[in-house]
Amino acid sequence: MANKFGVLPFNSPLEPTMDYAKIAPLIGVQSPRHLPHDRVTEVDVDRWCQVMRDTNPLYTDEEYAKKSPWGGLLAPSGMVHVFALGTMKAAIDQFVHGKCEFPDDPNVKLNLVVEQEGYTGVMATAQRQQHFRRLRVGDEIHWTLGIARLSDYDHLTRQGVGRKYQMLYQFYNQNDELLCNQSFDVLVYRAPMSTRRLYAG
Amino acid sequence: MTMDISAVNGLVGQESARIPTRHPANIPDIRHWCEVIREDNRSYQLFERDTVKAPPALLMVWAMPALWSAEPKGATEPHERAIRMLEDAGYGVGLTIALEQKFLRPLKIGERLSYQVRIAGVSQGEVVTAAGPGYELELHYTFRNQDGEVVSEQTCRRAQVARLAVKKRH
Repeated sequence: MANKFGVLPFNSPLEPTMDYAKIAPLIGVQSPRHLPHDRVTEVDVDRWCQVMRDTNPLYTDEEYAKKSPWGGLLAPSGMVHVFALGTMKAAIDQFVHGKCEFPDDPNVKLNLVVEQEGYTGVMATAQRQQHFRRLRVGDEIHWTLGIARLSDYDHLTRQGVGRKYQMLYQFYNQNDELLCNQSFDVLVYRAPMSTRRLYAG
Repeated sequence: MTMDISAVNGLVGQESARIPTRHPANIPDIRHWCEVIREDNRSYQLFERDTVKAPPALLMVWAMPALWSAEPKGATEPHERAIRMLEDAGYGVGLTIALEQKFLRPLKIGERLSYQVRIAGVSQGEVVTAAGPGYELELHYTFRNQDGEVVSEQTCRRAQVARLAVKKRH
């Protein structure tokens, strides 16, 4: 029984929470390779450099880039995730109609489970990229996604009670060379209102 | 509030130098356009294989100035100087109020474009626009490809107003 401040005794039974066994089979599994929505193009690189105010001539000056050790135009490494983002149609399908582009991917299956368990709030918290090879204009960046880990206990966060999970993206070029490992940390939490309803307006 | 329009009148009829667009007519922009207006969701590989012509409306997109430049250019062309004169006289807000576009032929992928702007006219006194009092400029754009062939002609009426007047709802 809670005291007058609403605090339960220390030896009270544990409150029911998410069963980790439901998502354990998804941990460490990478999705199949997916195609990008665009090739790495000079035009998109130029627009990125405009927005980021990046004046590196390796990205925008073809004559300079041809004389460099790389022999041609490069793309800023930070752009690698851009080519894994879905199209507008995919975003509308997902956030308005609830239809995911890759329903068998481990992150999609994980989100179904955590939503059913009541963790309907979603917040991206951190992103780290580890680069192994430069991106070149003309590359086609294939990508794969998996869940590296998920908390097996609840955290008390500013958003409320939640769990943290880490996704691992891997980006390859058309020659199957690994370009980048990217970790993407997400907090899912018990929200007062469904996140999807917020997106739908 | 009015201004001495004689300095702007002196620029009427003058045409700018050829201003090159930043990118040629290209397939990635066409694919982005078709995706955003929800007209075509095919993959980039199919666009690369099948696209030979550009949607005409993309001409204005390719003619837009750079978002940012490491070496910002001052107002040197006649139309830029006219707009700057109006801004300095207190009419600091520019609005396109009418645009007439004539596309003479479809653009081919890879065409490098440029355009020139001629000041066709300016109102001789303050006019009352829906956005507030100001002066109207009429600008005539001529778009050419790398061979000098005219691909489009456009007439733009632009109002320079002192501030945006917002109608009260009730």
